[in-house]
Amino acid sequence: MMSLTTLVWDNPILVKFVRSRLRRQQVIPLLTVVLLIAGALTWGSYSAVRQGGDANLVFVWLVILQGVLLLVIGAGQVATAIAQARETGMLDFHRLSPQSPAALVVGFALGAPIREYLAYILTIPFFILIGYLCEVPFLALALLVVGFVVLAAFNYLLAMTVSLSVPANSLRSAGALLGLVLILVNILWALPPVTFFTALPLFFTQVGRVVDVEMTYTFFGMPMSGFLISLLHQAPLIVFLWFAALRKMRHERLPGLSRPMLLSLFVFVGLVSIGDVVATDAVESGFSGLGTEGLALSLLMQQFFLALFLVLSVTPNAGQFLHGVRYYRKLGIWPVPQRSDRAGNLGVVLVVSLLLFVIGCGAAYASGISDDSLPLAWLAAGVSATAVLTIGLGAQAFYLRFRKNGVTYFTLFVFLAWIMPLIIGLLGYSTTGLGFWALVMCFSPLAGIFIPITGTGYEHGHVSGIFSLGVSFTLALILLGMYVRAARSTIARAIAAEEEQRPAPITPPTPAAV
Amino acid sequence: MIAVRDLRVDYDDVCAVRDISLEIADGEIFGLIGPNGAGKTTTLRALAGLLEPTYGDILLNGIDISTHREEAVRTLGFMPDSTPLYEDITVEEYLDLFAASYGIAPGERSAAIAKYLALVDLAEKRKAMTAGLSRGMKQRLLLAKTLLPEPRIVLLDEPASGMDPHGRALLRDILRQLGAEGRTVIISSHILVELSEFCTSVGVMQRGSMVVSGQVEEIAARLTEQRVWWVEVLEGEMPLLEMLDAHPLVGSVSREGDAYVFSFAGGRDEGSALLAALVGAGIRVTAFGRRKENLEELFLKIGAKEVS
Repeated sequence: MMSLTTLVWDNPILVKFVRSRLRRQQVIPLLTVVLLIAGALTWGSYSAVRQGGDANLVFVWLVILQGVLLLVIGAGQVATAIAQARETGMLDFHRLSPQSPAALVVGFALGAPIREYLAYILTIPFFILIGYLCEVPFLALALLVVGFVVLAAFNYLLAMTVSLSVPANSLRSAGALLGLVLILVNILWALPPVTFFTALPLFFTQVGRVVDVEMTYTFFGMPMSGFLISLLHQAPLIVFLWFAALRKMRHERLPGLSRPMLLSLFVFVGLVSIGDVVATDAVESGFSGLGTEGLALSLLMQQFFLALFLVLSVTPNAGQFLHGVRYYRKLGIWPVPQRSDRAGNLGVVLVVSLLLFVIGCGAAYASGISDDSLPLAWLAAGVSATAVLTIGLGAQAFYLRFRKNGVTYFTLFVFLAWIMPLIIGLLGYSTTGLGFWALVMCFSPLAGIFIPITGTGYEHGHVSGIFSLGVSFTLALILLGMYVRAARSTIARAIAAEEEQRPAPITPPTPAAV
Repeated sequence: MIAVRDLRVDYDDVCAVRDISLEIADGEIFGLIGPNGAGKTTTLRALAGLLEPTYGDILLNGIDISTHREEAVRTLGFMPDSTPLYEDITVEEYLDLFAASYGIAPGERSAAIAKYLALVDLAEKRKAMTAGLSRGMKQRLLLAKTLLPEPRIVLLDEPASGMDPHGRALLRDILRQLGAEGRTVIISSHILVELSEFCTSVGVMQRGSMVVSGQVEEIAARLTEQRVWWVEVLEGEMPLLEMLDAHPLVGSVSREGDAYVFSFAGGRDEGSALLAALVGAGIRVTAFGRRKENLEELFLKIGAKEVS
């Protein structure tokens, strides 16, 4: 086991980045600009305080400057370094060297943004000075620094995993994809009730109030500091991302998370989300305005979209499926074990759907919705579980049946099955009211989840829910049939291909009679 | 030593390498030849552990690369057909990065770097940025990087592409030296004439399969029962042609410059007897011998057979 010292101080990739990114001609302009901005902000805060005003806004601007340097530009540097290393083939050289995947991850995460680290460190004296002028407690300043470090680790590992996962032929678009992922994770995941998975909104809320150390929330009913709850959420996520990055460093062609890891991640996110809302008053807990139903719905939707993402991320394409068939047939192991990355996704889809149903029901109970609404919330959880079944099995069936066109046809299927009913239903609703059009909308599970749990003033929420559940379940059964058929046909083709005529080896000609 | 058993690599539906088995002993320089798309690069990348095979065993110096990858690659040097470089560091820093990666002690790195830069004739470029090197120089730098950890097994994918004649001569000398030091080398190249100069054995790939492999001479013998011989004479051309025409083991005869070239179904003994007969008949022979087949001819023969 490699020690931390070896990983960090004797890390050749880190040394490489120190050499290439800290050359004088590159560092001096950046540090000069940062010094000038931070100096101007400090002077501004000093002037404001001297004239009897407050310098809180200046403090916020300095924190924003630090965030841009460390979180935005830093994450971009990590993603770019990985994408370039993959594109040029350098990453293959590193994989071939005796360096461990952990050393590679640490080397890129610490090395690529080395210039941004330096710039961030340069701002810290100004940060302390302005904090002092604004009378921010030292503990609060320290917490902000810790928060930045944790957020940076989270964003860098996320950037690395995304950059390692982008298909090799799309590496040039890795930056755009990374931007999208960072926005999705940092901003969307910041929406209630999942505020704590990224410390960013909490962070800026704190900064906006010029750091209120006393700001407390509850976790599983226990009062806790927001920062601590964020750490409890983010630290395990960082561990998951660390393992995903390690796996991608080791194997280019495998998904970042193994199937057991994926299930662990799903359960973890579900559990801590329940912990955020359990035994708490939604209005007073930082989720104000949502109401208990809204809280349960948003938690269910979070788990639902996470389930979809995770299930799709481990669905093998036709080539990977064939790879698994051939590999395990050669080993004499049949069928392909479900824990294998190359197995069809049936097992993982079933388990994730079941877990989603359980977590959805648990979330509804934990968020404290009324007894009348509880069955409707369970109905919504059922719809979401069958919808995940539909998407998971559908993706696998389409990938196997239509091979290279599988993704295109599957996208079309999702549009027709999920989006079109919503559009038609909403158009009808806008002209004649909800009634019948609610049922039309409920052909799409998105409405099937939303309508029963929120009521939306519609008294037949349970009818819509049951209808949507029936539609989703029927669709899931049809797609299961399609999946089984496509899988059998693919396996049969793999076996037939093994028997096909191979190029005959050159055989020595028999000596001709002379 | 490299041992490969039943290696298969698939890219989705396409079988890139199909059930290859081979053994390459220490000190052997194995030329991997075949047309574009035959599966040479895929084979080398699988041997280097960069591609996960569909199935098959790869043992590098007796270490299974699938189960003990980190240990196996310690003995391996791989030079791909592209030129992966960090272009924002110097030549010396580039080599230092890999010297450190392979665990060469800090005190020994400088000497090792100097040694290999001198070997590939890049000592003067030590402080130059890698981005400023020509394509041939980059290839030589990659070669130095490949040899820096002193690997027991060296895999070279089209190493001569982009090199000038000087670079190729260096490469030739280095390969001969590696063979003499008992290291195992696999080299793929399209420049078959050059390969024939230093390869001790070859494998010919087509459509993912190894259609033939072994010593160059062996393959030549397997491919044709009638080897090509040649003879040059000072005078007596007519009696020579009459004797060759009458000889039961001689096939077609043609003239190439000053030499008469003929196919001959006999071995060394029969060849010796023919020479004695020619001399005995008063024909003034100045040169006589079996023409060595070069790889290009072998390759074309194998290709022609496959097509037919």
